Amino acid sequence: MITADDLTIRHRRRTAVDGITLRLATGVHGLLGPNGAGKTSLMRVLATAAPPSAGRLGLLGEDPTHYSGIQAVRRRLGYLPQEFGVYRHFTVREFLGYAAWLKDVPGHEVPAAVERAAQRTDLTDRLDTRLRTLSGGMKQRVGIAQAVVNDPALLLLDEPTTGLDPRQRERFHALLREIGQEATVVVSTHLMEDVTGACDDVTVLASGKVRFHGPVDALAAVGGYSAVVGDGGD
Amino acid sequence: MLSSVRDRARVSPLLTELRRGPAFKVFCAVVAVEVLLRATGTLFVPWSLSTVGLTVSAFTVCAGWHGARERRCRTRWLGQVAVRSALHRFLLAAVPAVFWPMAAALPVLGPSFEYDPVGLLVFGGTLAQFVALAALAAFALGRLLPFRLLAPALAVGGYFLLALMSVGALAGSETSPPEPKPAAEPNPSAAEPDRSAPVPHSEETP
Repeated sequence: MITADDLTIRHRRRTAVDGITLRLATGVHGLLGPNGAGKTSLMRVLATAAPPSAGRLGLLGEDPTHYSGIQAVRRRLGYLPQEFGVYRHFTVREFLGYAAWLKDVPGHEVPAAVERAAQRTDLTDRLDTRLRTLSGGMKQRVGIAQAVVNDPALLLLDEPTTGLDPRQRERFHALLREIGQEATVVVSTHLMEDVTGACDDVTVLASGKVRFHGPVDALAAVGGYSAVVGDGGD
Repeated sequence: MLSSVRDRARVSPLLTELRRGPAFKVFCAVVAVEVLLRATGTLFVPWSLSTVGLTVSAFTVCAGWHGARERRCRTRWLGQVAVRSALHRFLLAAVPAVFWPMAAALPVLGPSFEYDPVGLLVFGGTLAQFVALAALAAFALGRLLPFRLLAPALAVGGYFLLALMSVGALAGSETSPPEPKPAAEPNPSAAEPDRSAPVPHSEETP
């Protein structure tokens, strides 16, 4: 569950997110918007990687502005940034094990958690492959696998389908729908295909403000993404 | 039970850090070179000092390189959302940078100093501490200043520092018998006492 009241995010003088209010419950939520709309800034704050500049934020019932709240959220958080690096000399299994350690997954549960995450992302036969030998799409799947290795209650994915082939994209949508039955999933994307394929509702951001929030079908009813964004788009 | 232990070992971040990365490779190379030198009987004093210098430099390069990996691999995001603290992550990542130099120094380099006539770092333990501290410092520097040229700079600096220390130690050591003093006028009063004569016990003196 995500609750944001009058949430503002500033980078020095520039306001990336301008006093938005959101209520996101269990399910898969799409975050659409043109470049520079504030999607990545919002995702970073939701992931506790950066603090909000103003406003109130609640994540999974915790206050992420305090240390204990941050730690509690991070234990149940899965996050994949838009651009991410990996330790290229690790194998997939080792990297997922390392991610599980970072998220404080109990040691005896890690092997099973790694196997499960690999299975969910079709990486079982690549578990002992060095990351440097993987293609871009495979690496993206490793990124998704590390995000779900701790069975997160809050999953934040920033442009997760970049580099995935159509079949993998379909499988990924199915995975999101499965996780979304028990967790809050936020997917930031440029692709309407991701929204229509996996999301229960969609939030459209433009110039740091929420331009639309509602079911995916309702977006089409108001004229579609371009009509909602208007001049705030690219 | 055994498979469970093996499964945990395969995903253990500590073992992963130990077996991946450059320090383990340098350790293997150092061991191979030392074994080769000993087997062929070509290990002698100048080699011993040079080997130490090169080994310290190699491990320092590794540590500096390893310390800067978060920037090089663009993995800072992992730490930004991690439950584990920055200190935890630092210590885990520093383990191979410190462990492998010590492992190389103790059994391999230590005994080579039996040939060392200058008294520089006589004990393998001292050497291990020295190499480990150098590696840890290089790792920390790599973390603080994650630039690509840092590791080579550390290596060159480390090598010359060690060379300077060696020169200093050689200058202050006695590598040959002392020069005989010029013959002076015989002075009977300065003559050495006869050590074979009995020496009265102090308690017997009234």
